[in-house]
Amino acid sequence: MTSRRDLLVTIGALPALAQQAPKKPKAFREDEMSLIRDLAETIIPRTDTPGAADAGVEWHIDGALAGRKNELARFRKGLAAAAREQKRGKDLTAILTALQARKDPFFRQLKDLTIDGYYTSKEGLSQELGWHGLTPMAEFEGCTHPEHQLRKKA
Amino acid sequence: MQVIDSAKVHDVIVVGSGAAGGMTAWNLTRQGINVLMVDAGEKFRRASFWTHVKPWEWKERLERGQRPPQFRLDDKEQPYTWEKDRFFDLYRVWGRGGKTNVWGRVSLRYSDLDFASAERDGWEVPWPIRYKDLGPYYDKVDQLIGVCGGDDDQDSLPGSRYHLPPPAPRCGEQLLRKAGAAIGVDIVAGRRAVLTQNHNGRMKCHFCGACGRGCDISAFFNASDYLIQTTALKTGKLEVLDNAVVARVTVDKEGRADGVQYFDRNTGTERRVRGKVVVVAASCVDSTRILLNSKSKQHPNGIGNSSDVIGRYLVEQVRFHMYGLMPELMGGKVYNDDGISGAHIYMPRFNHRRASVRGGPLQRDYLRGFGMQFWGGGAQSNASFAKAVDGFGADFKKGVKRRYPALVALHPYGEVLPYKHNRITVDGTPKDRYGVPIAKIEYRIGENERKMTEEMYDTAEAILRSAKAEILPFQRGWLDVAGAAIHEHGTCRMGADPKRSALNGFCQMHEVKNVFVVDGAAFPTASEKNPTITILALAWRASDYLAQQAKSGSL
Repeated sequence: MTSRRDLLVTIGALPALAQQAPKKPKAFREDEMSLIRDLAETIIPRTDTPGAADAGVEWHIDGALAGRKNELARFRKGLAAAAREQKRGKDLTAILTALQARKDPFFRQLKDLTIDGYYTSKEGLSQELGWHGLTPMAEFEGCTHPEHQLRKKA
Repeated sequence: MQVIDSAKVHDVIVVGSGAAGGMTAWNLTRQGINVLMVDAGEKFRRASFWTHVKPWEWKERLERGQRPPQFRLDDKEQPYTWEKDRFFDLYRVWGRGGKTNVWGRVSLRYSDLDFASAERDGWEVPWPIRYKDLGPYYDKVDQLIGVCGGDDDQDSLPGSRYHLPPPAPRCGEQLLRKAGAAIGVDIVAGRRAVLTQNHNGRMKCHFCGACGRGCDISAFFNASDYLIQTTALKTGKLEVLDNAVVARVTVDKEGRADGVQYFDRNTGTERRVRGKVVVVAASCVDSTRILLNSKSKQHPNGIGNSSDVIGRYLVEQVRFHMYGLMPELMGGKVYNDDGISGAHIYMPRFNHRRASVRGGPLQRDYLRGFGMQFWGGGAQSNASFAKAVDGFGADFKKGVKRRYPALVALHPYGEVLPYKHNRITVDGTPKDRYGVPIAKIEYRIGENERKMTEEMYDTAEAILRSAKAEILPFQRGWLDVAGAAIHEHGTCRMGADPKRSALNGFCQMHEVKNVFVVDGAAFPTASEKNPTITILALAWRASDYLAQQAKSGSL
């Protein structure tokens, strides 16, 4: 039997549950999303810092391409080709290496979107690169390295 | 506020509320003159700005369906056209303060190299004024709005006794200055309308770097806060009409301006207001559209346009971007490089006094000159440069991190000559939602600009080579899309000869004495410099003259 306490706990958790309801992709199918995530992770893998999958880059790509008919079509075509290669047993590193070697436009598109998504995420921009801008500061110190300074002519 | 009663005759009607309109309204009202300002938009709410929103929060907000304030006018609301395959990227802001809400704040004074350029090389008409005429007004503008900059002064870039202290350069900028000095290219402190210390009761900049989203504390000049809201409106002499899209300047039997016709942006209703003087300050393209649409029996070619110069000689600047990675900064500490957002340094024009960085003659095979800005170096809120780094995987990731603090960016700006065929027209083009003909922009650069572009590429590359930088791949000769500098001017130029110009040196129409055009349209040449500080100085000078003429009954 559900106790009053349990009920309160459940009600309290409801808004959180509602927020965590699985996000739905706008442009891609679920299987495409999972392949995008794996490809992005191959481009920027988790090392001692988070990778593209940790940063949810597939969602960035989904958002960036939703509603962009031509770009989306081009991307899906490349994605489908990669999926076929994968089914034949090729691993993603090998697939991307081949695409890169023949300057495949899909590689360019995928890499650019991954870079945009990862390096504007908290994981990529703040944790990996150490960016800490957009922050009000009392003073701007600028460069204080003596070796960088322009020496004034005597 | 809506003025229903159009019978009231205002002393002066000012069309537009940006740098030009704001300055005019401020200067006239403080001299006791009644002004009606007609603004195509309304005030932007400072509290709604997304100033300090981090890039990932920005995406989350969009995801939730929120939208940042839309400064840029949607072209669907007020379309314009262009020649096939010659797209002109027109950036318009309708609303209080206009583009000064989000402008680049670069405030470089013109010098006599600019004002007298046409006199020296014979290309089109010279300015009817010289630095001695505008210098005192630059001084007053600097004191009023607060411009930071260096104490240096040279023939192509005048200094100012009133500059606030410049912000300290970032590491990459210091190294660029050294690299420039090593090849004889002088790179100085930039001049920017940002408060690096408290000024006239305004708080100084807090170096968050988000100026392009609108400043939450108004620490850089914007016409709305600096001229209109806090000062002109307080005189009790200023009325502002919101969301009033001006279509035409109307005229009396003698062909003198007697008011403006406008459409209510919300209801589409046509209305008219009357004034003894009309000042057009709607920004170059919109002002020109209004003037050309102001056709009457007395002015069949548009008001004050029997010379047929209005609409012609549209000028902008050519520019491109080159990026490098500084060896000293590779793998180094990541600083907060935001500063006052954008470049803290500037390379003034030098091609009039020394050979190109490649050597060769002093006399170039092209006219006019170029300067260089350095936006977007240091730790950015993205890593777009990584698109130019080869490979993928863990090594790629490491390579991006190593390069991230080392980025520098070079953006040369070159003057485009005024050409008769670069023009705005309103004939034979479709009409807007109010039934008023829209602007068509015809614009193309020529051989002179292509030759100058060559030297611009030489110079940027030489600075980076001198720095021993890793230069990111670029395509020589590539130029930013037309309009990208957002510096349109020239289409209602001033000049001494009424046959070849529409305005005198006080921005007053030669043919219609009670019409003034005080925005970028009044410039006879573009220079390589950003125009706003000169627009402010010109509008101040023009409105001083207007006030004096009005008081003596000469208008």
